[in-house]
Amino acid sequence: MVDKAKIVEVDDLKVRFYTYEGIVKALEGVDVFLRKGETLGVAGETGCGKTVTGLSILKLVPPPGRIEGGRVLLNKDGKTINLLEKDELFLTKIRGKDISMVFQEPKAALNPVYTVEQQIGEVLMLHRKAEFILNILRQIKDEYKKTKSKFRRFILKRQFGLYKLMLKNPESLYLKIMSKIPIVRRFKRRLKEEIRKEVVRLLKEMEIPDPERVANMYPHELSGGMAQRVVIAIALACNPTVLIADEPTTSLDVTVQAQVLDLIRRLKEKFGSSIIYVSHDLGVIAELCDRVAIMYAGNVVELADVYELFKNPLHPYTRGLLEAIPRPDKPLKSIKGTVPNLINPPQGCRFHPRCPYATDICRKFKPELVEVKKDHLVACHQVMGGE
Amino acid sequence: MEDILLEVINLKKYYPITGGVFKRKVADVRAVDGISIGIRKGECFGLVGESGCGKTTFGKTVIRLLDPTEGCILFDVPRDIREEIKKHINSPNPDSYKLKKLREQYDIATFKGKKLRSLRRRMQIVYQDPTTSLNPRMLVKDIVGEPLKVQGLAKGREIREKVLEVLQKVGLTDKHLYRYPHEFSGGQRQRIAIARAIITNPEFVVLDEPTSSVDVSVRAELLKEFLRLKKELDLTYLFISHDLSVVECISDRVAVMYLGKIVEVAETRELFNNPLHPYTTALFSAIPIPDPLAKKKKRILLRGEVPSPVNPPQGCRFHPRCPYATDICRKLEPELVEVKKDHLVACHRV
Repeated sequence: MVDKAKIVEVDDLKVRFYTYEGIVKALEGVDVFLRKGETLGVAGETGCGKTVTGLSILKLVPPPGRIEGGRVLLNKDGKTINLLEKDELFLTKIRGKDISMVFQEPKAALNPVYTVEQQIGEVLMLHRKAEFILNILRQIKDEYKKTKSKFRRFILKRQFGLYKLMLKNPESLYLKIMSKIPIVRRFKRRLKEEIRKEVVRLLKEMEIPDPERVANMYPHELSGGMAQRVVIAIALACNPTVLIADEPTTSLDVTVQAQVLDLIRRLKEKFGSSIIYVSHDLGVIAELCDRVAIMYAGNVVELADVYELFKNPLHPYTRGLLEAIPRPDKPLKSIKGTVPNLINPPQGCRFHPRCPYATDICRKFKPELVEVKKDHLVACHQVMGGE
Repeated sequence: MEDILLEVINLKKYYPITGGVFKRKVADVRAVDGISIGIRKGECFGLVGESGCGKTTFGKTVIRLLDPTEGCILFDVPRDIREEIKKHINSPNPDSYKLKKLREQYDIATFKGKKLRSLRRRMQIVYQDPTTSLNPRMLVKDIVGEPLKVQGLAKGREIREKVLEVLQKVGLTDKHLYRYPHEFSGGQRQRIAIARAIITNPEFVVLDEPTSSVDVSVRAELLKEFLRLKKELDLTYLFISHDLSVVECISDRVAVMYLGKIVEVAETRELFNNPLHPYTTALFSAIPIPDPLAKKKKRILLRGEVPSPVNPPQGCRFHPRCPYATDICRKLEPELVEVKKDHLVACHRV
């Protein structure tokens, strides 16, 4: 496949957290790419850096974390942009519009003191205001033609002027003053109505029953599944080209999870977004994703097509993970040992203390991610040695 | 028929909702609403259901960590007495003196004080999240040894010896004795919780989602540990979980719960191969299968969400979401009926 089809490329990403106990090397050179229109699953155990990878694509790593190196390339309108070099102002335009994110805990991701409408409206105001204002201008024109009353025409004319100003120079002092004066500030109602319409449309698309009522609700009134739908609605409000879903179904029940997965699948078909789906549940990944990246202790250890990965896992860790899934017909197997402490990670391959095939070379050198077969990348010395 | 260790008859647990100026009772949350099952000696009885369906409440009520609102819990009672109690309960005069006497003697639900405490030794629980169930200010040796002290089973040096013995049983060593819970990983913490549960030599252990807070690779290890301990110590488990694949793997029999009621009970194989209740079918079809080739499987999506247990639907509790609901479902509540040998379903359709 040609490189142009890659929509997001993460290249040698390094993230460290400076804590009191020491420097946590959360990501040590992560290489992952996302092609247009595909779903990439990122799997691994707790603390292996799945979420941090997602966050650093949007440059959202919370302090004390710091992105120490690497590049995050976004392919936007034919141009390649390195997001890590850009400033906050530029990123604000990208976040939520080109790349958006669905967070793990829907209840924690929503602000408890704002209604659903206000929270979805916030994203819409930030990225799609111009679109709404143009809509309103058209409406006012239509109304102007229809009415005969001179007074009404006068008001419509003023409103038209104000909205035009809002489009041209939203920071203007005149506009600010006008929106504070009682009666005059009523002109803003049109924008509110427009946003409400869009919010209800979005909620309807998320298959929320009775969207008009839900729009007025506060997050605590929503159930877990409903809250997650609202979060997805916020993420999809601006038709992003890339959606990062960070364990969106982990806190939900199986039946609700099935509903949400079904929704994500259908929305993807409809909007044609590319999705990075972070999850520790290999079952969900098998069902939803086209390609899978397996992470371990801050590295991508295997990257392959789903069918290939589940049929023919090459990295010992991937094999261990697949065998650790309880199945009724097979005996249970587990990976010995525990995930290493990332303040002081093992030398060489980070998996070697738990690896049954580890040799001297594994203890000394860190394996690179190499393409063993077409579209099947593995970081393991043993596989390269022609096993 | 195998020997039944624990029998529950029409168990109910309501949580009152208070309101108004005088904190009067306004309504009840019917967390557990009339459950009758028997758990056999030496088996692992799985209990599955969505969150909020009353699984944990049931587990806690059964071992009297919560006081039941109504119903009998018979633990290790000979068969003829169980039959007699059941006969009395089903008789037209359920308040008879004889039943009262029998219940005072055998029904755990009526136990108090010393009698109850001596019973606690025989039934233990392992909680969901070991980070919150272990006291962060206590050393491992104190955490694990506490049940011995409370029960008066051992003193002084003996405690240390016993603690060490139990720790070795769950795969920890003497160097872990003088550490605090925060120094351990999730899997090890859960092992400490297990050690604390088995130190009194219980016969019955409630495992309340013991693997939901650990990772896939550790989960497999813990499950193996549970199976091994069960064999070694001759335990009976009540395994509560929302993770169906785990339950399928570890349990001998499984019960499916929905809104405070049991809708289906059967042997694991039978239940997973041949689910009869529409809720069970939908629940199983929602499990994501870790095999991309199985993608095409038809999935039954349930509409809507679990109704509130404060005000459960009339008739069959599942009828608002059931694709096959008819008039009778809306009016009459189905009983748990044995359709095949050892396969009980509460559904009008079957």
